[in-house]
Amino acid sequence: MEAQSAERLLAVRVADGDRHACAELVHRYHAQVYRMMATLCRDEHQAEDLTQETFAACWAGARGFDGRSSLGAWLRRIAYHKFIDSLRRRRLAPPPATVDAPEPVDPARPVDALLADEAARNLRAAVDALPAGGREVIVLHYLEGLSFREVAYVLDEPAGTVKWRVSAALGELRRLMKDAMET
Amino acid sequence: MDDHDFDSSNDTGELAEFEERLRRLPRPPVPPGLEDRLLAQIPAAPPRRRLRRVGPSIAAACLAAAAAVALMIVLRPAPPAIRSLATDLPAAKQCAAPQASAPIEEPAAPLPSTEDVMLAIEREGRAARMLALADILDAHPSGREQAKLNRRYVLSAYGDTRAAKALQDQPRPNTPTTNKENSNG
Repeated sequence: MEAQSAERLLAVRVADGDRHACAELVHRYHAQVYRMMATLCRDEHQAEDLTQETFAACWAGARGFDGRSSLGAWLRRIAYHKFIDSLRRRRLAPPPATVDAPEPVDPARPVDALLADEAARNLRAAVDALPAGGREVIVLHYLEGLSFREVAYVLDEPAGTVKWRVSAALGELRRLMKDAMET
Repeated sequence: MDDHDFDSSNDTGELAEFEERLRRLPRPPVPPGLEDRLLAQIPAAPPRRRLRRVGPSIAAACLAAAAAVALMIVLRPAPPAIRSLATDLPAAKQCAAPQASAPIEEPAAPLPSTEDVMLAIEREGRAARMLALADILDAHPSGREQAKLNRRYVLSAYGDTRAAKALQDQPRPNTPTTNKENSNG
């Protein structure tokens, strides 16, 4: 409850044009918003542009934060709408991946590290291969760590629908991984 | 093996492990300097959204008020005397312009005499005044009888037999005005 009040207070301060509050918001959430955008867009330049658009919309509409969700979920909701808007503007399928995940390699165990990296790369490829609707819920729930309720808030869908979509996407993901292993 | 078999054949442990792998999937790195760029984007002055909001609000309020006034004017009921005269008065019908929907071939009604027209105007004015007075009197308990009387006079003047009979039957404590039409009907 205290965290909610603090977030609401931060949103009010942002709405009042408090630069320190805006800076705090950027500091807290810019990485989360950017990573979500980068995973959804698979284009680092577009992800950065959309992150900037998201925060610009936040400065203008911080008064719209009603405290029904966390501030992070509210920002991701704005970000998600920006992402959808960008898709509509381009009227194109998302471009191919240009965002590379970090490749941590443990020098002491190079073989294990390479195997783990290979598995992660396969999983990432499978996530990217998911249809857009499935990829969104997987990214928001598993990669962004949002609860079903928060994902429902971001996507503006009932929580039950989100659960069903996550389950279906998970099944599809496992099927893709199994196919990749067999081939 | 189809999807269903695949799903059902895996235990929850395997599913949980798969979900955990998803959660541990490396995230894209944040480009250096992004935070600084976002900080530079913060507006220097408080957002002008309040001013922007006030403008449309005032405009919307003015528009709503104008629309309400226009609606009141359009929907304002016409005075009963005018309504009844427009529909009932034979002389008024004769004076009225031919309707747009009337067939062109229909022979035009003969022009009323000047005396008829003057009589109709007088009746119209008297009836309108009496009905307006009746509306005013109706607002006061002591004036309701007088209002009823006024209305009966008007109705009987336009041929309402029930009103004329009621007028004859009742005692006449107050006669609102001398009525030329009543002497005829």
